[in-house]
Amino acid sequence: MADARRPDGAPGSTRRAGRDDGPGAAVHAPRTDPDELLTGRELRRLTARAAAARADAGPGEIVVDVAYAVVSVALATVWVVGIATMLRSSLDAGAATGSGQVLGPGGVQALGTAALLAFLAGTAVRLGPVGAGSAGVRWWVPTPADRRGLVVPSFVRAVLLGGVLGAAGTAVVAVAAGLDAGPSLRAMLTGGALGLLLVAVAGLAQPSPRAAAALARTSDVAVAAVPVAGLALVAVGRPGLPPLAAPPLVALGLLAVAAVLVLRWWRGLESLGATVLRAQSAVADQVGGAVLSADTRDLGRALRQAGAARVRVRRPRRFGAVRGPFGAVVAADLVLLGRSPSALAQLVGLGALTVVAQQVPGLGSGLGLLVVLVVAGLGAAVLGAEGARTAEMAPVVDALVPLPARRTRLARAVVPTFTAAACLLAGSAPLVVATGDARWAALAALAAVVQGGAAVRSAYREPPDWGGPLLATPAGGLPTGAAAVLRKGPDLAVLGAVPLGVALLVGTAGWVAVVAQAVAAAVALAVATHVRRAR
Amino acid sequence: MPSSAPVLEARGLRVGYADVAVCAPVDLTVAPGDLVVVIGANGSGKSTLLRTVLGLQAPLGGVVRAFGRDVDERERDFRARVAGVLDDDAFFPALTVREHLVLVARGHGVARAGAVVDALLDRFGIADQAGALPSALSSGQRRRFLLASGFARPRELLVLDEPEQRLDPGMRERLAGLLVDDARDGVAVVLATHDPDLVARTGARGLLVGEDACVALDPADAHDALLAVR
Repeated sequence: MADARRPDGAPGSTRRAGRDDGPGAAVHAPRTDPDELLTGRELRRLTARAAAARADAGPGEIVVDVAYAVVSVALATVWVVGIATMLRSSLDAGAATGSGQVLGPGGVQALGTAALLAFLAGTAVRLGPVGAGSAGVRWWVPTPADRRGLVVPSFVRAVLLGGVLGAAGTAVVAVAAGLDAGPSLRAMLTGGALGLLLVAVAGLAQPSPRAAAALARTSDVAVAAVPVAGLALVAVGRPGLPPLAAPPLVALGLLAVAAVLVLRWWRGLESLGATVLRAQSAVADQVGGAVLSADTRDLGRALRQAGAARVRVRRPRRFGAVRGPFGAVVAADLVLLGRSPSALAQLVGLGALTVVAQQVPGLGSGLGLLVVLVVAGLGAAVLGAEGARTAEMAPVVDALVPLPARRTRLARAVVPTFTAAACLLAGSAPLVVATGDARWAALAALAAVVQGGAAVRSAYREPPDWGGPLLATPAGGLPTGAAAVLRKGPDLAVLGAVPLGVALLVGTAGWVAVVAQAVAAAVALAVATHVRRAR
Repeated sequence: MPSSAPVLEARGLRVGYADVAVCAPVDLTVAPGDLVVVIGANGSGKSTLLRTVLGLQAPLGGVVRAFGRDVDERERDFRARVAGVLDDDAFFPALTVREHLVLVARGHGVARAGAVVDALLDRFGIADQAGALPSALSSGQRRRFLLASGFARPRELLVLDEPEQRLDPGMRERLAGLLVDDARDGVAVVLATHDPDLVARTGARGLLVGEDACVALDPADAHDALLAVR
């Protein structure tokens, strides 16, 4: 084994060849000396050492960075615990009313845990879980160095994150659902083991793109099925499940299974193909860039593409019924939606969520229900706005149709409005049934227009502007220019839903609210289709 | 590992994406010291063929073997003997040009890696940029740097995808010399190109890829075929 610290030609060295080594003498056919071969770990470390030698960070900067990270984690923990406590108070209050039609703490815990773990598995398989980075794939993966040594940091990171996020997330859900310390601790152990197990399954699926795509799709469907399952629980009259707190033996058993899978995953690291690592690095780079630049649109785009199944077009569309460029844009967006089974499954899940949320204490009326309807409505609209997002990324797509930019954006708003309407009309059904007032449905349909416009505004927003002043916050400096861009879309969704919100708060859908919501819809469309003049 | 098997052998090789072949099946045998240019119009499948030869893409059908064994880039022996330079420029942002190349050489167990790399930097005309970060290079310099990575390591098969791209005429001429030298040293070279001068200078035989057939050509015909494709 070569000594990786050997100075000859080591990175960071500025030594040049002596003339006796000069051009021509050494260029042709360099030979491999088996004693000089580096392992993947040595290559990684040499690279890191060379990069560190060039970095400006001294001990002071490193201490500040570590302190910054510790404070951020502490703040995030306090924030999550606060939310869990608030949810717990909500559920306690709902339970105190003694209504038999609401989901009990056990049901909320079961559904929340299922959604969390399915989301964890889906995210893990979309992010790899292991890789070597774009540069690593280009420069080190083609060398004879062992692949395990190259990817081991991402392996360790994935294992730790799987266990920690599974445990922490499950514990938060358990606390929110009102479990005591003992059962919460047992739930946390089980969640940690399940998180580890699911990440290991994602790792085992990674070498096979088909298996990975199937796992991503399954996790999407599982997340979407959670609200449907909640509805089913209410429908069969079993809203009050007992709290889930597996005995320690079950948690240990799951941990043993997870350990076996992790070991198998570890053994398979050496046979990871360059193609798989290249695909992972592309997603990881895009996700990393999106997170660093706080670009939620790009983040969603990266994760969607990572889990996208290969589309098989069995029946090409003839578009015989399409008339004019406006219709062509709408038809194209509809086909995009129709060819995304994952988006359709999520749409069903969001529709069910608006109904099942009304069975959860604290979310069944007033402000809680408004939050659910806005979040689910905007989420549904975003599912239908794939065409708009694609056009923003490649403006030539919109330039293909002979329409003014404003009319093109209006056409792009049709399908998002349709998907939002499907979701919100489902959410208004319990209100219509409970009150016998069909104006709730009218309010929901008009609010869907607002959400459709918001999705289009969000899709066409410009990249974050980092040139603005920093706003000091407890969690660090917030670039106001970037934040101003990020709010585009959600701002319209919230402001445009004010009439619906007022109606929910007063508990009546009057004609004034309907007219106000219609005005809000018109304003939302005007804002969403506004095109800024080029400077 | 002495062997009588050809360096590269393809029989009825079908390449493409999503089960759709991009060109006709390929039959090809490459021996040590052979120079082969892959010729074809844009989108004819040249790059896809090279990616398949490098094991970066699974074949849709047929056989592709390197050194008598099915191509599998997950095998260390394959990676040790086959060098490929495609058009993917990703870099470590904090590593200099020289550091990248030295680490490639050392990753392949090259003794006196620094000396090998310094000679190579001279040959590729980027010795003055040895201490520069890749982000500071011009497009053409970055291309030279990427190409140098294919020569900084031992190789028995060298696969290049349109290496002439973004190179000035002088560097193209030097590149042809390097390829001929490599072939004289017994390295098999397979490259896709649109540059007739590169074909003429290397005297390479050709493989014309197309939708209906993939045809082997002698050096003179390869040059003419490339002119016709243009």
